[in-house]
Amino acid sequence: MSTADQVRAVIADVLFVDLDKVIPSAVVMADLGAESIDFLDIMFRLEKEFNIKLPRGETEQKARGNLTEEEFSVGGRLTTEGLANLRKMMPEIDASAFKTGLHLREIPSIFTVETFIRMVEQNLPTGAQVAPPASSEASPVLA
Amino acid sequence: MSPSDIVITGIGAVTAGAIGRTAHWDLLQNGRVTTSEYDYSLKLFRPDSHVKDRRYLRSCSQADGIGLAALSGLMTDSNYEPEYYSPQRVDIYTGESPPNPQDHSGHFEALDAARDQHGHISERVFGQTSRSARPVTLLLGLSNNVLCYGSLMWDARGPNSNYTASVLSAHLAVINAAKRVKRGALDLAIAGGCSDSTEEFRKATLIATNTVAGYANGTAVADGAAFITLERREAALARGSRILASYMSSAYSCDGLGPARFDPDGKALYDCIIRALSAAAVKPSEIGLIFSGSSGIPELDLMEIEVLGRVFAGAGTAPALADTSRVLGGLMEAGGMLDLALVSEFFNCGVVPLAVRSRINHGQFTNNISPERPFALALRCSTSGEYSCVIVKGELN
Amino acid sequence: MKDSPYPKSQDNKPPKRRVVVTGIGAITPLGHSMDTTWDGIVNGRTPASPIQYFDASEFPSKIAYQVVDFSLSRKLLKNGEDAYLCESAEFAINAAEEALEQSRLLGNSRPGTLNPNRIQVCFGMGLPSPNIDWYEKVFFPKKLSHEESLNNARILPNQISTIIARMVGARGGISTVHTACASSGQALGEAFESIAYGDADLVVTGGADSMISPFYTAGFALLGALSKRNDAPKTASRPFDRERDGFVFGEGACVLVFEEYDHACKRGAPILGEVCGYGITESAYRITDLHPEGTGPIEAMQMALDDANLRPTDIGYINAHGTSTQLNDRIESLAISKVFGPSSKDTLVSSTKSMTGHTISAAGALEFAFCLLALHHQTLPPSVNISSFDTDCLITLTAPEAQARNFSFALSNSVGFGGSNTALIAGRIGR
Repeated sequence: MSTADQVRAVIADVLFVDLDKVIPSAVVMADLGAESIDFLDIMFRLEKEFNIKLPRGETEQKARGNLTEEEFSVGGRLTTEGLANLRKMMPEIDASAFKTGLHLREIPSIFTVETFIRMVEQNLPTGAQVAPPASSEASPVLA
Repeated sequence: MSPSDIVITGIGAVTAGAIGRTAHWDLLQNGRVTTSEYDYSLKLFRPDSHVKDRRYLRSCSQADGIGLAALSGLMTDSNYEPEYYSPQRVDIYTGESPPNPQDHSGHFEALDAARDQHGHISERVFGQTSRSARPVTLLLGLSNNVLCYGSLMWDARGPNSNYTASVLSAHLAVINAAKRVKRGALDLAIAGGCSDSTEEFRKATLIATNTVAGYANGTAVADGAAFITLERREAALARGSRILASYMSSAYSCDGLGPARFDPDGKALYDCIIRALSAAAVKPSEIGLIFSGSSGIPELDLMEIEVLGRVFAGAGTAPALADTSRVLGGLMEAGGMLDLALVSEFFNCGVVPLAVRSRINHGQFTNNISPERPFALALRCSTSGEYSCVIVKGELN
Repeated sequence: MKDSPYPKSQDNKPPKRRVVVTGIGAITPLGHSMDTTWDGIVNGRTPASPIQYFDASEFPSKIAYQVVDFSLSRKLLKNGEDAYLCESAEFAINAAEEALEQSRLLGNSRPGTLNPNRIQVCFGMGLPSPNIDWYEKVFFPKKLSHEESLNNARILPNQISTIIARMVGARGGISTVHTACASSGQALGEAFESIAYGDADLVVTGGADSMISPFYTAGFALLGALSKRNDAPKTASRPFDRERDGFVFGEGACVLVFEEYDHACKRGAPILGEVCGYGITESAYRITDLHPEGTGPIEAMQMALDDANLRPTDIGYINAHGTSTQLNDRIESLAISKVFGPSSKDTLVSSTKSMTGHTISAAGALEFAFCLLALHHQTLPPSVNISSFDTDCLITLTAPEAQARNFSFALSNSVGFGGSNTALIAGRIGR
């Protein structure tokens, strides 16, 4: 089984959805009905499955790059430059998802199945260590 | 609104012996008599194929899964579509057991890894090892999960509650749900409970506290879930629903003697029954059938039968007495729902099936169910001196 | 809201009886009585510290608001009953004694005319919070002795209610409720309705909880729900502050005596305040995520206002659920702003969890008691630990110090894990 198929199987299993719905372009929240707690479960299961450690809370810093905090986001919402950086970092996601006014906490809502596949591939021992698009915002903060 | 204007329109039930309403009636008619050798465990039950949307099982314990399977069955039995009533006027009342150790087993590896050479778990090390445990483990142990997922399944956004009140839980759910329907605060109430009390650790605790009997011929503790729907008669008929029984009234009481103690004089149980009768405006002579609470604890069961003897002393011909726990086992938080939903089957059958005749009848009560007296009285009794009584009316063919 | 095409039920609401509060008791991190606790609130104390119950040094979150120097009162306990008491149930015993004492229900001050059949208990009890030894016994050696099993009776949540029933001489029935953080809000609501609609004349209600244990500390940390400000425990719980990063565990118990107004007057019980309305809804949205529009809490607050026959502007103070998590505070403040208007100056808001921590199943009862005391003293609890108010929250917070205010009604919110939302309205006597 390819890495991609293994990731798809994990996501299908965690979310109790049919494997054929878990296509790489599926948006994990909107299309597959995930909520923030499922992100934690998906990450946990991927780490077990591949025996890797997925870094958390780095999307923001990586996407910010050389931008100052103010250049990157205002009042929690991404600036045009911030959006452009994020988009460059997550090429697998449809351009229309990077809407003006996107809030930092909304970043997980645009993650696709492909995002997780890429995240795993980049963290496999043989893979190149590029920016992993995991986010602290994926942690639900509960009632 | 007259008392009989609230009706029971469906039941979803999952026990070790059967799934669903008709299968349970078959079981009660033909079922084996309880002994603790009989396996009442649903440890191996897989809820996946019974639950309407498997996603609801994402962070469920076994008890939750059983509960959701019953709630899915209920939706079919009551022929309900979630679009039928406004979500704000649909509510859900559950009874659920507190978590048992299995619900914490997601931390097993982390705990094991934190043990020293003497087998003691180091808190300090667990602080580290627990960081790689499955994050949703915590959710499995919450005891309002069925309420939460059940409300998603039914799109029930009205008032709700969850009772952790041992054997009275499902009755308390029905009592509180029915009050709301009666007040017109909502259109549909789902009420019942679920339990996974055969889990070894929990069962040992229940036996040690005399909540359930620990010997072979007592009422064996059982896993299961059962939920019913309550609606106004007029609305139920308008949506073409089947009516299983009329809900008349209910009451609950306690001895107030503290944990694991009940008053052998039975005064609180007596008062509870009298209050329920009076709220329903039903005389003892109109009761044709009694479902006993039958805890399986001999002293409590004797007290119960003695109190019933007093209530029905002047009622002319004695009513029939049934004990469904002989077949179903002690369903703890899920107990009592099948009695309410199957009452019409009993009346139309006319006789208490052999398998569910009370062990301790002593001849005061009969096995013949008279259609002339179509009311039934259902009891729950706990060894902590807590009692509840629900009165229902059978729908005769 | 979608309307049903089928006939709607008539609102059959019978006239409600007045319900008043005649006794309050509390054991909290701020004090071992309701008075000392209120004193802590008025003075803005934040007694959080490193966790003492177990070695939390390697846990991601190591801090909590703990009840210190507690000793169980045995005055009203019977032999053998302590076998049924977990830590939080012990808190409940002391709190119940205080509440019953104040309400004149004990000893010589108890009138002989009380009808036990009209007295009930309705309690919101937390989940058992086992220590590490429990796991050793449960998971590793398999067989438990009878004594060990009996010892585990501590985990049976309904037992505390049966003890309270004995203490108050209740025979009208017991119910034990658990809906996570909404548990005691719900218990109080059901107690209120029981009296208002004539099922009982007096109900002892409240809640108790302690989740400061290895399992829950690990579990909530894994969900990212606990504050990690381990170096600054006293300022870690900061509801509605921009830099909030999760809740801090609290623990404790709060017990209240609810009573029908005439019943209380006749026996000369102290009347501390009135319970005016109750709202209860289920969000039915997600397991842990809150509805982005806050619909569940909005409907609960509106239902409580309708029940109390009040307008939003009548509410002078809201004790918010305000857990200090990003999500709760954002959504709850949105819900409040939708019901009471954006940043309303008529209705000031605070979360006392900055001073007590999150007492989970005890929170609804304790925070309703704060509403009653705020009305009684005409004093608003302070908003502490706010260094930079989160202006996304369209509410007006109470001042950083306790402040005098003339007001007649207060509302207390609870938002439970699993979607149960409650709102309770307290009224001042003699308004």
